[in-house]
Amino acid sequence: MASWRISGSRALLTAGVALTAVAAATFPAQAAHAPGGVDDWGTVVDTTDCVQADAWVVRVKGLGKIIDAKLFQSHYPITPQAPKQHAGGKELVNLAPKGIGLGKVSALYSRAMGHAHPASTSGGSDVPARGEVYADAGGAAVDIGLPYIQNPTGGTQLSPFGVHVEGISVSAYSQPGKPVSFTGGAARGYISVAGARIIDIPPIWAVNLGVRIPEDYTQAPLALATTNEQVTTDIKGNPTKGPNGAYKYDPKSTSGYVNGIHASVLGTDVADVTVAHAAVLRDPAITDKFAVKAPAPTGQRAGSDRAAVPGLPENKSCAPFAPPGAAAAGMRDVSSCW
Amino acid sequence: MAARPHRLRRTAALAVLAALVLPTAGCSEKPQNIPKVTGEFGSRPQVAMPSFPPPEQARMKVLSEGDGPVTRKGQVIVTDVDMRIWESGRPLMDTYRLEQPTTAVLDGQHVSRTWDQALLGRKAGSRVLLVSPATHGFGPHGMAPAQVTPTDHMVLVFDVIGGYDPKAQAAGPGTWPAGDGFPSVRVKAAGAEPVLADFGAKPEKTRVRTLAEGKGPVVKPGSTVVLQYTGVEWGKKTPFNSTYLRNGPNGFVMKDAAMLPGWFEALDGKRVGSRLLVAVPDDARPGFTHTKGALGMPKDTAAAYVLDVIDTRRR
Repeated sequence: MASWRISGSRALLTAGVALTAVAAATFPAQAAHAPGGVDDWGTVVDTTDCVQADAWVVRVKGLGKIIDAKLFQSHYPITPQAPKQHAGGKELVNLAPKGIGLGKVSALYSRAMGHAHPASTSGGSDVPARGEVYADAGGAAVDIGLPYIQNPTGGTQLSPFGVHVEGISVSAYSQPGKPVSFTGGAARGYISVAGARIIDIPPIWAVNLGVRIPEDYTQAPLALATTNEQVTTDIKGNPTKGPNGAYKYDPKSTSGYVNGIHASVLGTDVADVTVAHAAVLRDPAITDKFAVKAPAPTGQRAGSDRAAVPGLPENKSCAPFAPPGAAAAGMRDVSSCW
Repeated sequence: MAARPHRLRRTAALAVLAALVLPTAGCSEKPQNIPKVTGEFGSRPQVAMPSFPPPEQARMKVLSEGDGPVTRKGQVIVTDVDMRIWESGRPLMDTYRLEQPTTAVLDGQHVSRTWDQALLGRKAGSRVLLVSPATHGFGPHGMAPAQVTPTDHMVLVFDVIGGYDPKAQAAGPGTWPAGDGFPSVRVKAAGAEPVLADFGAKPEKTRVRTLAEGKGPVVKPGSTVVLQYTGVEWGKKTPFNSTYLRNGPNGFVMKDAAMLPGWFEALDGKRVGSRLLVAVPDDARPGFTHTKGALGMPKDTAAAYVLDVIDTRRR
């Protein structure tokens, strides 16, 4: 017969419900968390595997029916939307089928591989390596506009906001026993507004370099951009945090992502664009046992080992592995690394 | 043994009473855990950032309710917005200083789903506050904006200008023949983009032909006007810019500098519901390429526009 009694905890519960009711009355509208909070990393899929990789060449939202997707996305493990890799030829891929669209990309590539890393020479087979995870993306020439308005004379695009980069490449690589390492850079690039080049992007990209458009602080910003955006995450893709709960780059993290260029634009239409994205997740609790004890093979670049030294994110302008053959054939020799 | 349940019920009742009384007694310094926002609809809001930590979940509040139609799902929302970072108080971007309202598509692909919460079901003319984790505050599916760390929180203030069908037009299909220096215009079907043809000599001054006379409110200087438009270089078929090929109607501030050459004089005094054909000479505004809000056109080029006046609202 004790069922009708109200226990102490129930009393607290009742009070809590009342408090909630009061809170709701004084602040009736409270939006729930939007799903997919780790989308900055990419597409995290449900898998029992201990590694995941994700890469895309361009992601633009904000152009409505013309284009609205992660373009040339690769993923490990593969999904119906994302194969293991994309590799385009030298020809320009037109992303502006009706004259107003997104832009053009040539010699694009994106790769995502788990329990393997790429060959160090172009065209070579992937090298099996348990516990390793690798992703990269890039292209020989990327010309993106929001919206893309081609210059009839062939010069700088006339788009209200345009990004042009050549030889862009980013990579993320995580090996057992080591923290994640990133590379990001391009041969050259610029940001333009309506045909005028307003910012030249230097060949060596500083990590997390912020660009305000326009640069003139007396004017309101139309867009904010970050080049070589590097973020460490936990093994589920959530950004790593410091003691105060704010994001903090974790030099020991085994997971994270890099964006070649990430721009957020307010204009006639809200838009957000990412050019060249590579992301990896690796669970060290499971994969660190695969760490290689012996010295690295002489053929492997030191770049893939440099992340063993903890510290701030490094600026590197070349990928540790060769891009796919088709892409490499169309790319300029931006460094001696390939 | 019968007294115990009574005691417990009394305790519970007191707890409920306390819960009801405490907030009104001023015992809580942060009953809503949100910043203080001042200013009128249409003007850049003044936002006083609180010293306490941001809420863990997204929060929204209607600061002032407008008197226009309620926005609904399937529409695009034309809005002004001011974006700041809670932790640093740093302003990020805003459409007020750009003098360029923005169009948001609420499909979960263009902006965060939290924007749905703030913008859907609101009366046009409302000011709405949204506090949100940065990963839910701007981009699709939780993309934090550039130059914002993923753990920051954003404070967004929206002035909802209105919700519109992506294919909204001021007038129906029809054909308007060329003549008197104007090209012909054909709108094949409801919602279809106007096609301009039969261009004659380039215009020497800005000229306006009213293709359909509206009966709505008058568009006044300084107000916001919502347009569906297409623009072509004189003599060409392919538009250099068009709301039809993007997301739908855009909002513009009725100031000459905030619009493409020729638009202000074409729109001033016209009524909502009007369809206008505007011919603009290549020297209308020498050297002009784009406004602060990135509304652009080819430099020193004669152009023709079809402007459908969808709505107007004071700012």
